[in-house]
Amino acid sequence: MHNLEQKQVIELFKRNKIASLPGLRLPHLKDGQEMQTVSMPVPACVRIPMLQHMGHACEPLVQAGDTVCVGQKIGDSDALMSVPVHASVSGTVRTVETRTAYSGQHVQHVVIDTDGTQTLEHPDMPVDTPDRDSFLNAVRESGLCGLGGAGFPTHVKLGYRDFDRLDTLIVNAAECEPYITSDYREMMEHPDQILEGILLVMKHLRISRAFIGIEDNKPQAITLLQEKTSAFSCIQIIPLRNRYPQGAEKMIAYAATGRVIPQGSLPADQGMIVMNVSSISFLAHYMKTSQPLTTRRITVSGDAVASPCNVIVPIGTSVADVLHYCGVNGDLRSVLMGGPMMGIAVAQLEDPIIKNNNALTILKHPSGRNTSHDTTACIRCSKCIRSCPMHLMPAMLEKAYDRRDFAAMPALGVDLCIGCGCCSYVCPAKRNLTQKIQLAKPHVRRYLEQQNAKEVQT
Amino acid sequence: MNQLAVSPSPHIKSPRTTRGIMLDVLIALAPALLAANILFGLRALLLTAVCVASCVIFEFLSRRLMKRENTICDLSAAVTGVLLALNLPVTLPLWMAVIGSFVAIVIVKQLFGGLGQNFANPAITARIVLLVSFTGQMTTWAVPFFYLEKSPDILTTATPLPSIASGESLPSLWDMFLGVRGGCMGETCILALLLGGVYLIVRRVISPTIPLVYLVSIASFSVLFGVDPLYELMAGGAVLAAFFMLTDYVTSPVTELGKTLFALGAGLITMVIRVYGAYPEGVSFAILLMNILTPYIDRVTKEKPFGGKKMRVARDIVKPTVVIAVIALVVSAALVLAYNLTNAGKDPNALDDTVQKAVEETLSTKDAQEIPLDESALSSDEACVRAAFTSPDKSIMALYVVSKGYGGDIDFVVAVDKDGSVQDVVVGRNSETPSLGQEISKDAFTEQFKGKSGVLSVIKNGMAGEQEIVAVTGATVSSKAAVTAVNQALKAFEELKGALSA
Repeated sequence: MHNLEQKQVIELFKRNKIASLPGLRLPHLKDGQEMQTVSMPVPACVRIPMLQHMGHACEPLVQAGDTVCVGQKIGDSDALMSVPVHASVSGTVRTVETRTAYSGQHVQHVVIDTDGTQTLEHPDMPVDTPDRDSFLNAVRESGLCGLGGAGFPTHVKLGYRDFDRLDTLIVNAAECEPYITSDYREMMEHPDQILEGILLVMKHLRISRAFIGIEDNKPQAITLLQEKTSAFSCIQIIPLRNRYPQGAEKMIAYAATGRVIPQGSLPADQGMIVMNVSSISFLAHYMKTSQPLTTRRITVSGDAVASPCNVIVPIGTSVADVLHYCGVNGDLRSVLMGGPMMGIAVAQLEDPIIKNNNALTILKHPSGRNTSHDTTACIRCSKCIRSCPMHLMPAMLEKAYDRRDFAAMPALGVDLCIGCGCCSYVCPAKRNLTQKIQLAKPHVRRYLEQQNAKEVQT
Repeated sequence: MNQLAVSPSPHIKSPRTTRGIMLDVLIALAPALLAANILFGLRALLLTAVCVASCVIFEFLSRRLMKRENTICDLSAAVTGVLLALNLPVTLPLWMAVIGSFVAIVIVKQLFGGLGQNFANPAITARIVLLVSFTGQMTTWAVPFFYLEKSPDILTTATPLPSIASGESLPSLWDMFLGVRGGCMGETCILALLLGGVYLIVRRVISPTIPLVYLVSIASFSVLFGVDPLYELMAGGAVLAAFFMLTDYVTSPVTELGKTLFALGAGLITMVIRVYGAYPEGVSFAILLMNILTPYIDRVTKEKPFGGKKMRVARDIVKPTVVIAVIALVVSAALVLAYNLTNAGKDPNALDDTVQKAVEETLSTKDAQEIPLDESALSSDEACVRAAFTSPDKSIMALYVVSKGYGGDIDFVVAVDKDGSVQDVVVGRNSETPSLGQEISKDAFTEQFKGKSGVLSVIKNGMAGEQEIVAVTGATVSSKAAVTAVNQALKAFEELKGALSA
C-alpha cells in the first residue's frame, strides 16, 4: 500500500515535469471525431508504390498482365529495413512504372486495374506464432510499418537485438496534430483489438508493463480504454496534457516513463518500445486473420472540407479518388498528406495513399494564409526557442544554415530536430525554420563525413 | 485543373506577425505617452510625433538609398521613434530630436543591416549620443504641470536622482509613482509604465524574466549600497528600461538563463553608476553595455537539447554568471574611476586659477594675503569655505566658498567689506546647465547681493525683500547654491573679521 502511494507521488511529480513540455497549444479542429468510419468502394485502378516506409524499396514481384488477389505479395526485398508490399485489390497489373513519390524519391509503382471481386489471396485464418522468431517473421509478412507517420518497419523495431533490456511498451495514441481523428476512431471502434495487440507484443517480447498515452482532449477514448484494460494491472492509461507534439516518440516516452532518450539512441536502448495505436491494433487483426496491410483509415478534413469523415481506403488509391468519394470538390488550393503541422503537400492528385498516411487535410490557404509579404528578418524574439520540444535553438540553426556554417550546426543539435514544425508555426517573422533545419541535415552529415575522412588521412 | 500549392510544413501558422508584435509594443507605450501629455503638456505629443515621423522617414530613405526593400510597414521604426521620444526631456529642441532619430535609425540600425541586426538598442544609443552632445538641453527637466502656470516660461526642476545624491528633499513616493517629478517625458509615470509592461507580459510579447530580475537586482543592490530601494526603483528610467528598453528582442539574449544574467548585469551597472559614478543616472549606460555583452551571453547560455549532454552547473551556469558579473563590475568601475581620475591629480587645497583671478579681481590687488583657516568651523553641510584673503590695506576680505549646485560643486568668491556687507560675488568653475544654472554668474543675478549682510534666502519670483534674493528662472537649485555660499561666507567673515583693520 505504502509502495503504491509512493509510486503515485512519483507519477504525479513526473506529470508536473511533463507540464513543462514546451511545444504548442494548437486548436484541435477534430470535427470529424464522432464520424463512424466508412469503407470506400474499390476504385477502378490503384497505384501501389514499392517504398512506403523508412528504409529500402522493394522489388516488384509481378509484371504487366499478371492477375493479382487481395493480400498477394507484389513487392519484397532482402534488405533489413524493408517491408513487403501487398496488393490491396484483385485485378490485373496494367504496368509497373517509375514515378516521383511525394517524398521526392523515384519509386516503382505497380498499377493494378481492379476487377471488383476483391478475391482474397489467403483465407481468414489465425497465424501460428509459437516463438519469438516466428512472431517477428509474421510481423514482417504482415507488411506493417509504423502507421503513426514515420513508417519505421515494425519487425525491425520489435526485433531489437538486446531484447532482455526491454521492459516497457508504450502505445502512442496521443494524436496531437489538429484535424486527424483516425487513431481516435480506431480506439472507439476496436478497443478490444488494441488490447489483444498489446498483450500479444507483451507476451512475445516478455515485456511486463504497458502504457497507453492519450491526449486529455479525448476523454471518451480514455474512459473506454480504462474500462477495457481495468482487468490488467500491467496496462495503464496515461492521460497526456494536450500539447503539440505530445505524440512525438521522445515526448511520449518521457511522459509515460520519465526516461529521456539520449541523442543518437533508440527508445529500445532505454528499454522502451513505442508503437502507434493503429499499428498495434492491426497486428492483432493480422494474427487473427492473416490478412496483410492493404487498407488504411484516412481522416479527410481541413478548413476547406464541409463535412469531415473517416474512411477506409485501399492502399494505392489516388488522392483524387478519395476526395471524390468524400465529396470534396471545387478549386483545391492545398492538399496535405497528414496533418497541417507535419503533413506533406501533395503536388499531383494522382498520388496514391500509402501505408503510413493517416489523413488528407485540405486547406483553403496554402501555408496558413501568410504570404512572403509577411516575412521579415529574424527579430530574435526567441519564441522558436521557447516552443521547441527538443530544446533546440531554431533561429540560430537557421542563421548557421543561411551562412552555410555546417561546422557550427552539430553543436546546436541539428540532428535532434524532429521536424515537428513548432518553430515555424510560432515565428512572427514567418520564417521557414523547420524547412531550413531539415535541409541542413544532409549537408551537415556530408560535412561530418568529410571531416572524418580528413582525420583518417592525417 | 487544380492549382495545388506545394509549400513546406507546417501549413498552419500562428496569427502573430512582426508587425503585430510592434503594434502591441505601441499599444503598451500608449499609457506612458498619455501620462507624458498630462504631466508635460501637448509638447510631449509634438516631440513624439517628430521622433516617429523622422524615424520612419529615415528608415524609408536609408532603405531606398541602400536599394533594399522598404520595411517601414513592420512598424519597428515607429516603435523606435516612440521609445526615443519617451527617453527625451520634453523641452528638447525638435531639431535635436531629429538628430536622435538619425542616430537611432540610420547609424545604429540600418548601417548594421536593419531590423534584427543592430548590436545596441537604437533609442538608447541615440539618447546617449544626445546626452553627450547636448548635455544642457538633455538635462533640463520641466516641472510637471508647468504648462498650467500663468507664466509662459518653462520652469525646470531636478530629477530625483541628483537630489538623492545631494541629499535634498525628494518628491513623495506617491508623486514618484504617478510621475509628478522631473525626468524624461516617458520615464516618470511608473503607473503608466507598469500598465504597459503588464500588457506586454499578458500578451506574451515579452517574458517577465528581464523586468523582474532587473527591478529585483536594482532593489537588492540599493540595499547593498545603502540607498533607498523604493526611490531607486522609481527614479530615473529604471521602470521604462525594465519593460521596454532591456526587453528589446534584438539586443537581449534569447534564452531564459541568458536573460536573467543580462538583467542582473544591467542592474549592477545601473546601481554602481548611480551611487559611485559621475552621472546621476546609470540606466542608459547599463543598457548599452549589456547590449554589447549580449552576443557573449548568448554564446555561453545555449539551450541544452532534450536528450543532449547533461548541463553541468559549474561550467554552464556558475561560470558565465561569474564572468558576466566581473565584466559588469570592471566596466562600471572603469567608468567611476575615469570620473574620479579627471577630478584627481589636483591638490584640493591648491587654488584654481579662476579662483586666484577672481580673488585678485575682487580685492583689486595682485598680492592678496591669505588668512590661515580653521576649516572645520567654517563649513556646513551645504557649503565650505576653502580659503580667505585680505587686501594689503586690510579693508576688504575675499572668501573662496564651494557649494553644491545642480551639476555638482560650484566655486564662489565672495568679497565682504569690513562692515560685513557683500561687495561682490564671482561665480567660478561649475558644471551647471548652460543657459539655465550658469545664468547665476551673470551680473543680473550677482548684483542682488551687493550691500547685503546677515542671513539671506531665495524666492522664486516676485519682489525681493530686504534679506531676499530672486532666483534665476528655471535654476532654483543653482541660485540656492549661490545664496548658501554667500551665507556661509558671511558667517565665516564674522569669525575672521579680526584679520581686517578696524
